[in-house]
Amino acid sequence: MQNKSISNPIIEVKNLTFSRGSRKIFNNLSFSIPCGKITAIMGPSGTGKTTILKLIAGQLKPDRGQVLVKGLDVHKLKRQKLYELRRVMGMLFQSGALLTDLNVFENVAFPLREHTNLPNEILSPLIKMKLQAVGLRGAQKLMPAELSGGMARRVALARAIVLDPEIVFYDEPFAGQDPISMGVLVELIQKLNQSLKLTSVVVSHDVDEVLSIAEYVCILSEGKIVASGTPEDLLNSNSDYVNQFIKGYADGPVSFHFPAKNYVEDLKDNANAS
Amino acid sequence: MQMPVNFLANIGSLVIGLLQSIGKALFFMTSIIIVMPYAIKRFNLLLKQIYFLGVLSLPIILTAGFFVGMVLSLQGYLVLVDFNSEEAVGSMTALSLIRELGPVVTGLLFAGRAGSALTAEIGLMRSTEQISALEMMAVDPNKFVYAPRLAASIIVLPMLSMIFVAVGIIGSYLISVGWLGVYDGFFWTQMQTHVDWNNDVINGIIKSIFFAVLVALVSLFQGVNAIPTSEGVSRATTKTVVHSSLGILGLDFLLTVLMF
Ligand SMILES: Nc1ncnc2c1ncn2[C@@H]1O[C@H](COP(=O)(O)OP(=O)(O)OP(=O)(O)O)[C@@H](O)[C@H]1O
Ligand SMILES: [Mg+2]
Repeated sequence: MQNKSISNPIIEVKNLTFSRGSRKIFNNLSFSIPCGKITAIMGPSGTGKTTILKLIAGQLKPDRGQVLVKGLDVHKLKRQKLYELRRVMGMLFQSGALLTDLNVFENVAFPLREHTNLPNEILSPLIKMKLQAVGLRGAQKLMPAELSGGMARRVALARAIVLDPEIVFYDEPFAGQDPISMGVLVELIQKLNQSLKLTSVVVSHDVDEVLSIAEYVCILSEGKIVASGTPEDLLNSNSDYVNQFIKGYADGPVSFHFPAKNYVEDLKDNANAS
Repeated sequence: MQMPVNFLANIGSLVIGLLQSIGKALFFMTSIIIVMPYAIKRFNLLLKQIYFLGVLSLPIILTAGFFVGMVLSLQGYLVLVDFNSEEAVGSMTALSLIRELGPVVTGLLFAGRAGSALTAEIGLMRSTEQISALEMMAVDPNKFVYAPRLAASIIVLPMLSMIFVAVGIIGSYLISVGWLGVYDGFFWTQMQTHVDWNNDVINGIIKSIFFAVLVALVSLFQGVNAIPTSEGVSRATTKTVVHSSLGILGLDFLLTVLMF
């Protein structure tokens, strides 16, 4: 089950090494994301899924290795070129990251106001359409502080797609959503991907939802890609990692625990100390 | 043998750390100053910052200026009256306000009121990933967030300083003429003859421009480099006030030596 070579990758991560302090998050990581498809990145909490998105977008610098987006080495680009590249990328942040001094409508309008000269008569219906798509047209006057976590993330999603980017990164789009809005979002991501021919990268733990829309899946664990392929490949996989992750067993090769010393030892230490 | 080596190594790492942070600060400074023209192009952003940093600082500046002016003339009168030259109280107050107290006290108050707010705002924007989101939306935070704040500080602080001086002189007038009975005409003519436009007023304004740059850069730098937690932001806010206050006092001494 190795990385089958992808015919037309839009994002290529090559031999990437990245550390936080003394902890190596990625060690010689390589993978590609195909153009025009929905790719899911899954993996245990804390393995670095958010980190890899930030590396791809050029917000973090790797220790070694390179990231190519549309053939451009993100970390070698001049500031201005990088900003140009980012115009064709949309990112839904895990935390939403709405601008707290603007209301919902203005938050979604922000990228358009910054990068286009659309008059209000055109801009306003456009924003309302995006808000309608995430079910929050009625909330356009609210400030970010007045939204629930799930609502904030849907506003952020509307903002991420308002410029009609070529590549959209969704960091946990389904977290904190009720089953209804989850269904709507799944459908929305799929529809956007088909109608706009964009490349979507979805980071999520919701295995069923993700596998239902993804055309390509990478499973990340302990700084490596442990499996990748189509959802069918993974469901039929006989790899322990994949089975454990997709079926959610606590025991197996993927550790539920953050790296730590032996549990019993740790408890004993306490007993000795007191 | 081990001790001195360790000692040297510690000093070495301290110096390297210091140089690194100075380098970082200088790099940050130039990257903002390069995009300053953008701050003027985006007039509405600038206006908003002028409101936040300037208009909202007015109450504290007005109150402080008034009281400082009153106290100065009270004290000045007590000394001058022994030499029968109490009518000089007007020029004495005006000179100390224009040359020193106006720019310095306004700068210190600005650091406490506006600088700390700037640091907290930027620190929170970073910890809530708003700065990252701006970068991802291809909006340069240097242009959109930092430059307008620096520009607004440079515009606002000299004005606040002049307002401080004006209010201080009114306070002084009320005390010395209204209460202590200094002759009205002398109060103003003394001030007119002793205060020089270029040497005093302009120099005072130049001082406050320096202080504005200092406070704004320190605040922004602390905000950007704050550890993105509530504790980190609160520590950065404290640092802003301490560093910029000390900076103002040091810089004031230097400028005074050069100017007067
Ligand atoms: N600012 C930071 N400073 C130091 N370490 C960090 C920082 N941000 C993340 N980490 C570490 O990097 C690792 C990867 O973090 P990341 O946020 O990418 O995980 P994730 O896969 O997105 O997890 P989740 O599914 O919970 O969102 C974590 O183990 C975390 O300890
Ligand atoms: Mg994450």
